Amino acid sequence: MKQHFTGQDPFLKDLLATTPLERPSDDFVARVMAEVESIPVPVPVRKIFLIWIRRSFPWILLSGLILVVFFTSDFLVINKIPGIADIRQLVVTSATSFLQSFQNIFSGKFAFLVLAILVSGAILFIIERLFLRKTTSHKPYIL
Amino acid sequence: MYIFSSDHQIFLYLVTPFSFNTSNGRMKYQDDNLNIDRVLQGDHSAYSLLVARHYEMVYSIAMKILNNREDAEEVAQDSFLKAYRGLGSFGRKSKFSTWLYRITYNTAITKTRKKRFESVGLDDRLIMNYTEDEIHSRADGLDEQDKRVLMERALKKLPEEDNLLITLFYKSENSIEEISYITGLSESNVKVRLHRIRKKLYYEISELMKYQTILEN
Repeated sequence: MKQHFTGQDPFLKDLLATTPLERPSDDFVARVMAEVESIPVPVPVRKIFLIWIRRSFPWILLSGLILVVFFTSDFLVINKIPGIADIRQLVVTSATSFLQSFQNIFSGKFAFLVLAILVSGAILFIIERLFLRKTTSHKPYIL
Repeated sequence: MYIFSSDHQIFLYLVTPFSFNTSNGRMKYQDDNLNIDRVLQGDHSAYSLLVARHYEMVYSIAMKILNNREDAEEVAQDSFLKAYRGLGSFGRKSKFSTWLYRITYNTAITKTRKKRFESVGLDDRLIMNYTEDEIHSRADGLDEQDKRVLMERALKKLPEEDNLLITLFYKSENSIEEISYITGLSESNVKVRLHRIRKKLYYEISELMKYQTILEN
């Protein structure tokens, strides 16, 4: 016969509540905190990614610039790469369609309304970040 | 209950609907998240609040697996340090306590080099001297001290692993899903084990009561 465990048993729960949990030595919390203070403050993973992006941004920009110069210049060496004309054509076509998509967005019927909302949101966000946000480093007090 | 002086956190309490539920569970859950935020912002001292809140349960888990005070204390300390180091990657998909208990469980298991929980079938061949209702009414007549002694003796008769599961479920009020996450057992297996342990615990209580009755006569 299949048995279903509901888990609800107030009797056992009450009986277990009478037995205290085991406790380590009195200075346990102090010892853990002494160790913790020697460890660097943990950084959220999301922040690590943002820091990485921020740090590598100049290099990404520079690499992009070099690639653009390299592929669009008229060096003799570049022209010897097989299929370079097709690659150039592809880059130009992609860039053109990418820029055209922006043109379509801004010439849309409700573009002004959307832009107004986005700009207002951005301004409010900046005000909140710069002037209203407080740090949470105040000491807690216990009720 | 901790209250922070930051306007931001008071705002958080106001806008989050379940923050009005002051019954321990959700409030603790929120407090833990607020303390984690403070730690990630560089406030070391906030971690001491997390340690102070959970050290008894963490130590109990380690103690139930290792059965040795010194080892359990070492494992409990290691678990808190591991949790601190990994706080940045804690995705908050579970409660902080559940995540911490899982770290403790794994650290303790590694320390003992014990096998993890094994799947078990249901064995109900335990014949009780009293029915559950009789046990309830007899236990009602006991005072707090006697109830405590009775429960402590009954718990001692259980294997450590069973003791851990019952503590996580009834004392720490973890759900089946959370216990499954902590121990690595499937949810159905946690249910089977808890069902069996509950029966066993009633059997042990019944035996202890029978013994007590013999002494009284």
